[in-house]
Amino acid sequence: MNPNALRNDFPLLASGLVYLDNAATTQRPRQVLQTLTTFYERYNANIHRSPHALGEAATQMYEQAHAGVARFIGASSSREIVFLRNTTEALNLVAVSLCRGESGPLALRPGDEVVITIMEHHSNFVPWQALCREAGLHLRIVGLREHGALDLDQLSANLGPRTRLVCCTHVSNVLGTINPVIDVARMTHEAGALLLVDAAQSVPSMPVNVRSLGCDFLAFSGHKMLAPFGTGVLYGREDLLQRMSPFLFGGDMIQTVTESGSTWSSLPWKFEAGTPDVAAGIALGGATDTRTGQRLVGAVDYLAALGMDTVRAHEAALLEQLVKGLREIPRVTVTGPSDCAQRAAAVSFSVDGADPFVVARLLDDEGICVRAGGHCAYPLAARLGVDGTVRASPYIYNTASEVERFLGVVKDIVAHRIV
Amino acid sequence: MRFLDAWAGTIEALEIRKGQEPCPACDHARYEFLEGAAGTGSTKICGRSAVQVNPGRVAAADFQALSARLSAFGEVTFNSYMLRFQAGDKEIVLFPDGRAIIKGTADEAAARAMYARFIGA
Repeated sequence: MNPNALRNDFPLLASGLVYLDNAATTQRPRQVLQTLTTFYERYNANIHRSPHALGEAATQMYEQAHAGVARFIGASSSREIVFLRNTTEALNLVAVSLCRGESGPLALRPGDEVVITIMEHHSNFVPWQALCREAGLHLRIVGLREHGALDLDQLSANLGPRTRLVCCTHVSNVLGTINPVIDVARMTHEAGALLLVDAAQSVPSMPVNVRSLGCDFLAFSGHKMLAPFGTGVLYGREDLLQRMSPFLFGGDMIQTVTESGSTWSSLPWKFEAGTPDVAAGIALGGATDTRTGQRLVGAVDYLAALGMDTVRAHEAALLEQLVKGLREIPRVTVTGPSDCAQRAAAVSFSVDGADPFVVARLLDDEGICVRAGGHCAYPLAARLGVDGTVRASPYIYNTASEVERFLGVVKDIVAHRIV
Repeated sequence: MRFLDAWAGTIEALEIRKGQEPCPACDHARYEFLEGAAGTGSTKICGRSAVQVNPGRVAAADFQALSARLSAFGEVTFNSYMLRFQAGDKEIVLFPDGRAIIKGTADEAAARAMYARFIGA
């Protein structure tokens, strides 16, 4: 993979901007942007409603996009793929639908327990906090071992007969830690519980196969992996989704509606109430017009063509360079695992005596985009005893020379620019 | 136009001439500042008791002059990249393009007021 060649696909990078805020959102390639334009210019119609050819084409393409995402993460079928707005909505869907469960193993009852980890993003923390308060459940929080690794002994100790659900991020958006989800899944299932994985930081950056992981639910966002904003995905095991109640109610998610009641549509449409962002969904999953053969490239097509092993290898090389370079700068502390094999390319660091926002602003003055703050993981920041960190997160189009430039500017900021 | 700051004891003078280009306010009755379109913007900083203030226009900050003026109210340090002004439990970090981070408050209105008071509207 040649990142310099890839950069030609990304219009926003033409200015020479060093964009290292990819854990927040990535840039979009021309091919994906073209899909949005092509859809609106040639295929725009509502789905699952209109009997005309245009409506049929839009419907087919939107359904193909679900299949494209299913292939990308190794789901058994597109019935297990629900398109939503983002990871947050996907995680909330599980929280709400589990609570609505009328009977069966998914019905949560007062006294049941939900286990989360301290490294969760607010989107996989607050919904469970709220659910537990409202439904009389107990929330258990698993802590860290040294260097930001998940404490599996604590996890084991927190699993019990009342544990119904374990919610765990695959990759920490602050620490970069890659959690051993396969082990977590085994432990969770041995306890008779279900596992929900927040994969917002892993699906864009490494091979992820839901069946290999053994998870029951997995959520991620399209905008962190080259797709438009407003695209998110919930993977759920088909047998579980079948038994779960809908999240939102309205058009497209029903089979029948009478004055006395309603029945629900088939999967995944039961969970996609109302008109979705059809164009953005196709720009995520990709589709082919079966009449004309025209291919509308989705973000998963683009990434699959690169190969997710290749994406991971490229990120790993930049990660090594980043971590090594930052550790050589005086007053800089890098958070997260010291072994780069155990982490992804979100690298958070602090500069002794310097506010992370000031560091980020000084980097911005040099055309380098990074994020600063608590990264929507305040409980983790509190546990780490930090007020916030600066986070650099490279992606497929970043180069070693950009990382070198970033390190040089950080070095200069630390030495000369902070007062 | 003359600007007299009785608080800081400074007097500044600006030469104002009618330019060649039509004036938005005088000629087109567009009052951008009154409508807030060109006014100071602010964003609460994620997870912190701090607000980023954007003056809405790029204006090179004169750190030397500001330092002289602000030192009457608190501790000031600066270099060519930033100016730091500590006044009680509040702190302003000002950058050369006029943007600033106001620490010690999460209230955007209070941060904008502090910016207006110490840096300028």
